[in-house]
Amino acid sequence: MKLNHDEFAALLARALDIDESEASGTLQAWVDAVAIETDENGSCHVAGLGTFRKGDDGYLDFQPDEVLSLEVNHKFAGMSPIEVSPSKSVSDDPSEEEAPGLATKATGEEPEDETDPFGISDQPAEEQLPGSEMDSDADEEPEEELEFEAGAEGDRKRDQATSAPDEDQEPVEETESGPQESDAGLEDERLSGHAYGADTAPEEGPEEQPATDRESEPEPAFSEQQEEDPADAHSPPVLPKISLSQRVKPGGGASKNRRRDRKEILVWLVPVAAILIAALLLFFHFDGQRLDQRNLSGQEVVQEQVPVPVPDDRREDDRAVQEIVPTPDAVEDEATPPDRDPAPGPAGNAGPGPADEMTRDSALPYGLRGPEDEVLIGAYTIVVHSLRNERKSEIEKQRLENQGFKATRWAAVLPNGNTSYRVGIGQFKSVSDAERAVEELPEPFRSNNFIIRIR
Amino acid sequence: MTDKTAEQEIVAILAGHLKKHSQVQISGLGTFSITHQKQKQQQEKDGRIIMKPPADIIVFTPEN
Repeated sequence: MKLNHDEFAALLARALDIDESEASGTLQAWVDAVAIETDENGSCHVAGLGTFRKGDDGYLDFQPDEVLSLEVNHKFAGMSPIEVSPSKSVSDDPSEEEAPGLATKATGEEPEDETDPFGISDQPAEEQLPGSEMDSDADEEPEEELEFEAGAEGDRKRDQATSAPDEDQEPVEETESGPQESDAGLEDERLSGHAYGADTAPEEGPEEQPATDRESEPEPAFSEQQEEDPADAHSPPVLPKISLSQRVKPGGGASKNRRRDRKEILVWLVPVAAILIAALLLFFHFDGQRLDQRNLSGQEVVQEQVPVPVPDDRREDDRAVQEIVPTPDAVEDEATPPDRDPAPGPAGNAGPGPADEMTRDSALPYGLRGPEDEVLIGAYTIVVHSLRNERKSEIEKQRLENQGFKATRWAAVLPNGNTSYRVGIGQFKSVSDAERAVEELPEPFRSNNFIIRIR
Repeated sequence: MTDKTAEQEIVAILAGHLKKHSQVQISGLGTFSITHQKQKQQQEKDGRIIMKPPADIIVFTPEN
């Protein structure tokens, strides 16, 4: 539909109740006034219509009024952009999040090797590396002091151990094991030139020391023992033997012990887990049988109720009942078995998730045609009408239903507060399904529609 | 500017026809028309694909 200048002037003449020629002159005067004001001021605002501006190319430019634009676009007003691929956005976000995560992992793995054995995880690496030489220099004196003190104490205790009876050997060994190992560690570290664990090794104790320290420890201990053996030839060799055994255990058989512990744990865990799984399966099995029995009992009740009246006039009712009665079985047979029904949530991922989803999707009333059994919130539909009149929208919906379409109607509140009654065709699981269905629509709707999610 | 009543009537006629999606041609000024923009998918900078809704917009074509 097109309105040319003469027709416009005729309408204006009718509205102002003047002659058509006079109306044409009035219209031309308005046009001239707009052009002059635009030339003079650069823009001319006409209330209710918009703003005319002088473009860079010398031509007139027009920016419509927001109210007028909304009125013109009333059919699609209130529709906001929707995410077609939210999963991709989700996958993008984790990728952005994974990068720092990986960085933290990378940074977390490096200090684990360095910081955990030495207890300096809180300190940044930059502080450790440049200061290592200074620390080693500064710590050498205390090391020697510690060593001498520990050595003195160790000698005293060894003397006590030699003079003490055998009953007191165990506490002596326990107290002695710490300093001995620290002595060994210190000596070993001094020999190897590492100043790292000089301060921390005594604090952590022998059990928390890494395997590298443990491997390096037994040699000096054994050398001490060999050196002490001729001096303390008369003393019982229990103390060095036990200390040697303690050293050897963590150094040589720590990993074996851990493996044994793990094996023992696994030996206990596997049957316990198997028993639990079997118990769960039995529980769900019997629970499903109960559901079957309930449904069967309900079916029997219905079947018992049906044949009682059996009047000839109500054969149609019987047919209806016969149609209705098998549906529970059919639904249960087609849907997931009752065994799997109680655990669709957490166990559904490992179990029959995809199959269940397929059956559910097939059961849901998706599609372009057919009756509208229920409005699927979250499904996509093709909006072909957006009307302010509720009655008209209902009429349009009925018209579409008469054409065999699955028509959906709902009320949408626009940003300006008005309510728009939208009529959509079909219900689809995804936008792509809806886009495919658009091609099947007849022509007024095929080129003028909008796919939206039912909310 | 012309008479206020005349301008209001001109705007009323023009807007009324535009709301009906009619094309209006005024000599010496230009042509007002309604163009339907179809829905389209658009990929944002962050990778998300967004379906932009359709819109009926007013297009003004100035007269030479």
